[in-house]
Amino acid sequence: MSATVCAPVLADTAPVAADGEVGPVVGVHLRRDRAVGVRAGDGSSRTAAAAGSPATSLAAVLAELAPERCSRVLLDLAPLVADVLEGGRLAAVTTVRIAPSDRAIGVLYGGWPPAVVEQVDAGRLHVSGGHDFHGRRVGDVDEEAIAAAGRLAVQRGADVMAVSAVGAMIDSSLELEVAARLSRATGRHVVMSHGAGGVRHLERETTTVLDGALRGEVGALLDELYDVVDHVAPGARPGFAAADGSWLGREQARAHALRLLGTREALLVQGAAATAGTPSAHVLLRDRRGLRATAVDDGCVRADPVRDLAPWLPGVHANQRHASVLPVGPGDASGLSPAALLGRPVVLVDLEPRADEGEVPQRLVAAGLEVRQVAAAPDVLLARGLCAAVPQCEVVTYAAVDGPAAWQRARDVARHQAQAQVLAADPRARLRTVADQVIPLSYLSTGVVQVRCYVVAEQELVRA
Amino acid sequence: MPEVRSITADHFDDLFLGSQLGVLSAASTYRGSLETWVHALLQERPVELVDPAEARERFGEEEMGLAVLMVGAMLSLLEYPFRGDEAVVAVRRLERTLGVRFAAMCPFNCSGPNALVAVGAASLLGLPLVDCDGQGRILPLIDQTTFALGGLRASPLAGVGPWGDVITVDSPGDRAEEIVRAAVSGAGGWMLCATYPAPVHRLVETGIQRSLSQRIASGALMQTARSDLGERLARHLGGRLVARARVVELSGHQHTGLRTRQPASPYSILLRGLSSTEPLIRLEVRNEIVVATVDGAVVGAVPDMICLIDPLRRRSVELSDLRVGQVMEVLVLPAAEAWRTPSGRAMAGPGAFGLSWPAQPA
Repeated sequence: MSATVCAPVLADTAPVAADGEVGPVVGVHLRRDRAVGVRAGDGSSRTAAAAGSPATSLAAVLAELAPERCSRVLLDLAPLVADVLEGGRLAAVTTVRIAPSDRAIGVLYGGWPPAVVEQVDAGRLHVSGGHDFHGRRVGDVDEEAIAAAGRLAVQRGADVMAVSAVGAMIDSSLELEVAARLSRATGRHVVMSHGAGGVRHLERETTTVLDGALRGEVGALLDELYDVVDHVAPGARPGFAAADGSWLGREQARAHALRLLGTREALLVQGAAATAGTPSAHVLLRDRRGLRATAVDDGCVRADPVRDLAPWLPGVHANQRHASVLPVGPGDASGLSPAALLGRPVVLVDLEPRADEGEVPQRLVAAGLEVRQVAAAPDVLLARGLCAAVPQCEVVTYAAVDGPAAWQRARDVARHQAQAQVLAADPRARLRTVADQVIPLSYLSTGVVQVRCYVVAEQELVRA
Repeated sequence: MPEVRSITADHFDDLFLGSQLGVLSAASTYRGSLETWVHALLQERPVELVDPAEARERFGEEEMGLAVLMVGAMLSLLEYPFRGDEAVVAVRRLERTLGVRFAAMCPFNCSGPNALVAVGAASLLGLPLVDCDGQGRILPLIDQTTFALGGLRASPLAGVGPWGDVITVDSPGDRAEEIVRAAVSGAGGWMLCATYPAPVHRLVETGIQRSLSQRIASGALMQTARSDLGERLARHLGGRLVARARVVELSGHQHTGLRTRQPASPYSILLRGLSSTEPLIRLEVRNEIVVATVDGAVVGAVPDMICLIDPLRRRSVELSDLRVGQVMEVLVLPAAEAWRTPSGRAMAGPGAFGLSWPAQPA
């Protein structure tokens, strides 16, 4: 097994369309036994479906939708990633937590289904240390503890090692050092928490472990499907949908496989907005579970940073950017303040046929809102949502700074990181910085700040 | 809402939502490890909530109580999570320092993490929690309390930090705030502190009464209010909805006001009102929102509580999650009576934050 350590930015090497323009796009939603695809962006919207394994059905759908050149083929693998998680095909991970104490209020694997723990848990080891909030490293690297972690991984037959250090979002050097040593000592792939990102250490550790556990199986799937796209739609750039509605290049997806899980609501929302022909909207999803509300801003779904991984791992929280969807109520709009919806069209999506489907729009129209209704099969909406997906990256990190010049440097570093991630998904992207903030950390008299930079690829709405 | 005598896991959702009210920088609106931990503690051992009136009868004149809080940045607590025994270590250390055994405890305040910290600590220690606190809202300094207004002292105080550092502060000169703030910085961003050791009767007399149960009731309202949450909360808590507005700018700036003890970098939030006149609303943040103006006129100021409510999510919003373009409701809720006195305003009014805006809103 080759020894590799993830670099923070993972460039993708797929071919770029010769003219450099974003042309027709194909989005394909994949399940274990079928695929549904949509071609959009060239003035028409064509749909195709095929049965069979993911590779077979993808090839059939692409053969129908991409006989002519298209610039992108975007794939939604969420059901397949869920199958990996639920189907007993996870890698064994030895985890090294670098923290002040071996005790914490959050226990890794606490609340996880026993069957998943049995597969994934190849031992856990605590190493004392980390970076404090001034960016200072606390204590020396404990060489013996690192060596013991390596031995544990070998002894337990780990496929992957995960390193999560407190303070890694202020300074990632400790994780990189420890990962390099573990990689050299064991030959295992090492995943690190600063790559997963997020400002909660325990949730970041969970994300890192799951990224590592999913990496092998999902990576093989990515390679297989990538080859299909390359063969059937040569010249098209493949991408993979993430839970926040964005899309990732192959290597980004391999490194952060958990991000491919749970894309459904983000893609439905993007698909609905694209169908309604509006880049910015409040979107109401209605089905037997009730009414759920979210918003799309310039083609990007409004996202939350922390996710309860139900239904796959109920009660387990991960740092995973995903669509921010608010349950409103049992199918009516009485829980919505019209004021909260002002200023944008409201797109109402009925995911199932309803007898009272006129009721909600009437209420909203009566409140002075512009309402557009969308009706389409969910799988088609998912594929349309893929076509409308926008590469984007939000970097949230910390910096110990001591003045306005240092604030600016911290901001520049975060912006470059975010830009690099967007370009890794799509090297042709025209970048737009949506948010670029330095937020002082409250209640502390020292100069620690949170830096947040959100960069998106500027693109026209791909109407579906 | 029925009277809460015992805080169980069933109350957790209401407590969590209600505790976020009026909190911006110290808010934690997403559930994670801290919330899961406190919920699990309540499942294992519910916390007895003692009404202030009952506390006067139940506890003797000499029986001692204390307050617990987390000093520092909420974000540092997310990065350096509790081990789980900090409250026990801090309280036992303070007991040893004073040579007493505490009979009860109360929250330092019921806002943000401190509501959860108090409930979690009471569950761990098996102590009854008296339904009062020292701020009735969130204020940055440990001596910015109605306990202090009533003559109680924050020290002796014991604190535990994320790296296991334990401090005991006994400050005859009432400099606990300065010393603890320096210790928090050195300790790594937060300390869980056991403070204001005093007879339970005195904590009740000087504290803001029924603040915890009020937060639980507010949380229940936030869960059940189907629409118009801002207006309903304002009615429920005797305040007013100042504006519905869209965030147009978020910016840090240099403090140009009077010298202040506040551990805060000034920050401004500008919003454009959604009403026909599109007024410009400015919120000045010194850790939390301290002043609200509409087209330049002050409409709310500390010690009153200025809240941002996300009407779509029907909850408070945290500063690091605030985005340009979001629609917010701005509420001003009245401070507790103790803060409305001249000495209360001197301690917690705009002047305490280095601002020269009038203490009385227009």
